[in-house]
Amino acid sequence: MLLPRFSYHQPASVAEALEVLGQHGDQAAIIAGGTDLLVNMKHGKLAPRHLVGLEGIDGLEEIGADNGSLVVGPRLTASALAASGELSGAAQALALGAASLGSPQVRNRATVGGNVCTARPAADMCVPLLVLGAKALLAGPDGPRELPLDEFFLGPGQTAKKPGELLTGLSLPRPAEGSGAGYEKLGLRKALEIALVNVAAAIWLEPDGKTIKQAKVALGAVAPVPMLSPGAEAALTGQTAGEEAFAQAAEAAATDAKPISDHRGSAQYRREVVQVLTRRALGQAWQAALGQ
Amino acid sequence: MQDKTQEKTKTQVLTREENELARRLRTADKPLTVAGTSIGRRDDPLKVTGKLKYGADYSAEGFLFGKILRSPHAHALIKSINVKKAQELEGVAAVLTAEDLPGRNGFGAIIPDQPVICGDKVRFVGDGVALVAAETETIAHQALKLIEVEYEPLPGIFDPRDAMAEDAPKIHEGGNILSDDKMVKGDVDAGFAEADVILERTYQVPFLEHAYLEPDTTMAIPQPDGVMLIEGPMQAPFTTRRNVAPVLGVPINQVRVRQIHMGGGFGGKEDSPIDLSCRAAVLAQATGRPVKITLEREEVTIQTAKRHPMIMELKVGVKKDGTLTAFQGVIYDEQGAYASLGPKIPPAGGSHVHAMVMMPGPYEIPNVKVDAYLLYTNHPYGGAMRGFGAPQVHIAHEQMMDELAAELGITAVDIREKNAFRLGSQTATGQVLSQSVGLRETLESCADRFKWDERLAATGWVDQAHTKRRGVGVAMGWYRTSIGTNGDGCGAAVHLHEDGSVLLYSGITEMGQGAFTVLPQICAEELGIMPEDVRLVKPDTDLVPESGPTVGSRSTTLMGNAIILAARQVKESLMDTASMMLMVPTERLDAKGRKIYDRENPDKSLDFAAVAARAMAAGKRMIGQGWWTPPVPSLDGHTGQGSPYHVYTYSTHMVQVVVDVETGEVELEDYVAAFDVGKAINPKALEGQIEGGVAMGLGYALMEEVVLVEGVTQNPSLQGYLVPTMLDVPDIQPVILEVTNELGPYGAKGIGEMPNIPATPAIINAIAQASNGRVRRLPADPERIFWAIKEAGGPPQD
Ligand SMILES: Cc1cc2nc3c(=O)[nH]c(=O)nc-3n(C[C@H](O)[C@H](O)[C@H](O)COP(=O)(O)OP(=O)(O)OC[C@H]3O[C@@H](n4cnc5c(N)ncnc54)[C@H](O)[C@@H]3O)c2cc1C
Repeated sequence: MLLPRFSYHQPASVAEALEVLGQHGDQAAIIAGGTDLLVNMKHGKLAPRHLVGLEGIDGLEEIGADNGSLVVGPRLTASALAASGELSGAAQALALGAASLGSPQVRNRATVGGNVCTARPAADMCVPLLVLGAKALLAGPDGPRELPLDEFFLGPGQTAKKPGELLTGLSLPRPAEGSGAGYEKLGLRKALEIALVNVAAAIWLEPDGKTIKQAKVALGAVAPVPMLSPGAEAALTGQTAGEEAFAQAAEAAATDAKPISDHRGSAQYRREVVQVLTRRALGQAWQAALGQ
Repeated sequence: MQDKTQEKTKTQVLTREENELARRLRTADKPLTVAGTSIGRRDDPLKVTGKLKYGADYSAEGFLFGKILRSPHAHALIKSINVKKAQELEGVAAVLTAEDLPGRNGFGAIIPDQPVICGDKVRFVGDGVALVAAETETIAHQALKLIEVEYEPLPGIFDPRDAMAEDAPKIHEGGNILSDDKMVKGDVDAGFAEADVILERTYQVPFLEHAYLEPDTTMAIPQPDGVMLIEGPMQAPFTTRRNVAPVLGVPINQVRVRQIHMGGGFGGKEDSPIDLSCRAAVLAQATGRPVKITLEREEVTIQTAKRHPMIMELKVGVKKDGTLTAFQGVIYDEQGAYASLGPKIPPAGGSHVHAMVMMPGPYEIPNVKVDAYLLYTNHPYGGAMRGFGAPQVHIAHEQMMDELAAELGITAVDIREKNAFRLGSQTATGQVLSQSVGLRETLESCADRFKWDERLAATGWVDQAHTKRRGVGVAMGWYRTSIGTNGDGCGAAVHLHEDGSVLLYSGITEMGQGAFTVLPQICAEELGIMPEDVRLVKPDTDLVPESGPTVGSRSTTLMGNAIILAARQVKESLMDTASMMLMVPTERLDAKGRKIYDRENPDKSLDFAAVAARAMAAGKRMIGQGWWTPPVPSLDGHTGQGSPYHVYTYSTHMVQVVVDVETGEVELEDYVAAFDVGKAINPKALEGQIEGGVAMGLGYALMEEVVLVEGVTQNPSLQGYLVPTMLDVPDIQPVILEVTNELGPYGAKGIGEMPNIPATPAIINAIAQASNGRVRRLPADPERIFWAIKEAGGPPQD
């Protein structure tokens, strides 16, 4: 349970960071809050000799605007996101997810970049980011690139990020009028708990305030990666918002889910709960979109 | 605190032996000034400023780090073991196997059936097969990896019922049935014939981990004179000493055990320090150097004792009006790999017998039969955990009471009122409850404070969408003070100094329960001084008298009595001296607030310190010694009849919950817990025990379980083993009642364990009342509640 030895680097720019990463190859790891990395190092699952902290680089700890999108800095903590005034409308999903992560102490350390790069199936910030259609902004030796988040997650703890690449931001569409988000998390206790099932939903309404222009539902802990439910989206688009549509979407989400049974819960139960939580998250998103 | 409770004490009938003991304790009839007040806990300032040192904070300069190589198999023969490479690693001071041991290769709180180092066979995943001492923790870890062990796996037993089969593999030489106990009163067949309703139910509870905050630590420090000094957080320094000595092959007086402040124990630090101390001591002896072993969290979960899992089969008969006629029970009590605190110490010690005695609950039942089997398996072992067998059986009988009430169409409170113990009741062991029986009072006060009738009437749907239902639950409980063995004596010493200051010597340990505050309070009360005048000498087997272990909710009561008796001896010197100084007969003298005064003329007084100085100068006795043994317990080995424990604490809990019937989630809204504690020596500290206990019972109800697959713990860290957080615990309102215990200090009874016992079934009952979902296999996590509701055909529809 001892932390292995490592040296610490604090580059002042993205370019410098890429250089350090390039130099040390798989001996290097980026550290943000350390709430995943250090735990894994203590358990002996990882033993990087070089830790690269990004706190010396400007601009990674803010929400910026970039024609039509919001760019969420990877070093923003769950506490900061939970309290952020900029995450309105559908983007509120991220704030809700962030608020339900861990405990106050963990939220003060845990960053959104770390949450995304750790890529756990139940990650509280990843599931909301999916319904927002977030893209991962990556910088690497071959230049920058963008990747939709649902293509970024490959498996538990596995992402499409190449060695030597750095997550520099997450881009989301600007919050739109008439949009809202909902988030539901089921666990065995009320804090410090990895979800047994978590569901995020976002709804964008037509100006009539009734018709669903677009809606997305994302599911956590029911597949090897946080996943979008295409069935739910299809069941909602163009429909009149309300219990009936939500119930159908919930059923579709339960069909899309691919849960397994483990000592924390059976697949069958998880599927049942997906349905309930989807219905509720959509209801919540609808109320929020209506400004209630 | 309530006047009507005083009434009850007058009609108590003590046996001759009890009367004699009570007479020894009786104090002059004067109002208490120090006992009964909520003074602050002595360790609080140190804790909140971070100054208090826990085991891991002690410097390990010059120490070797000890580590244990653990078996990955649940049941296997050890074919060979090669430690050569580990020994050759630089920085390794010793690698020990069974062959290297100097003395007895076995330890245990009751019987020494657990090897210090396994020689021929391992019996659970986590059994120790080799010990390493190295200069650094890292080297010790590396050395473990270099030890080569060849195992021949054996079939394992993972269900206690399988252990009873004729052809089951034998885990220990003597077979798998460690204890087979019976309790028979009246004639159950006749009782069932009288019943209008008979229900049969099976309830099941899993292994539980204490999850104390501080992982175990032990330091073994060889002294220049050959004595082995053991230091560490522990609940039972004397039991530890009793084990380390034979393992080292030395007499008991060559081992000195010093307790350091504990970061939580809950019964778990009764036997894990025995284990670690024996192992650290053999390493220290082999190397001649001090050795420190600190467990990692995962090791604590895998290796140390747990709460026993039980499968409990009940068959209970009841008349239409709610009167119980017969109770039949079977307990499959899973001991796991080693005996620990499970087996019987005659007549009624050990957790197994305690569970059997408590099984029918605090109810008058004319016909009772319980068969209780204590069974070895290849799982971790069951030990003591806050309630010692009682929490498990309460979960069974308290659910059964609710199931019977529902069947009869009466309320959960009605059926309890009908059958609850009162003064003079006869228990299932035939014991007549001769004094201090406040069970019914707790039910009454709890229902009053909780507003049971109103709340019961208001249960039902919370929301229009019918997703959540509100419900209420009740459970009662009883718990012994003392441990039911013949040797439950407890010693104390009081040293008075010429300036009036006092040293109090007690072997009772502090683990957060407040002993180091309450015991000086009792001493100060008896001497008529202030608590701050009494300094407590911390448990150290070289300094303090044998006090027994800090378990069984016995400390305040048994040690309190010993302190009163010790203080009386020096008080006699003081009174004699004051009598001469004031020219007033001793019978008229009293002491209070650092004054010794004439009761008939209180202005005539002397400073306590002045009298102490004079007494010292006159060569009076300045040292008092007290020894208290509770009334001799009895329990017939064949019929389970007798008086196993001399007095009981009683309690009723009520809780209001909201169940999400679509997901099975539970929210606790309100909680009232009432206790008859005899006398609250420090009401604030007592409330702390109540709140912590309820939180613990909540964990048992809703989330806690050590998950084992083929003997392998699946959730050894606190990420997987969930305990309640602050957000899960509701506001808890304690109600304290005082029905005097004639055999306790100022009337006190034990309270350490009681609070968590009824909490679990109260919550489970509330869930069932709200949702129809009755979970008979704990924990009642959302999924189990979800399926239980489905199985019941859905929630109530009204
Ligand atoms: C007690 C506790 C409770 C927790 N509870 C929850 C919970 O309820 N819900 C939940 O979702 N998670 C939970 N977690 C997990 C963890 O807190 C989150 O995943 C957190 O968001 C990780 O962020 P971090 O900044 O600490 O990441 P770190 O540990 O610093 O990094 C995690 C990984 O991301 C990589 N990384 C970080 N930043 C970048 C970057 N900019 N570019 C490339 N790679 C990067 C690191 O190299 C590392 O591999 C909990 C953890 C703990 C210890």
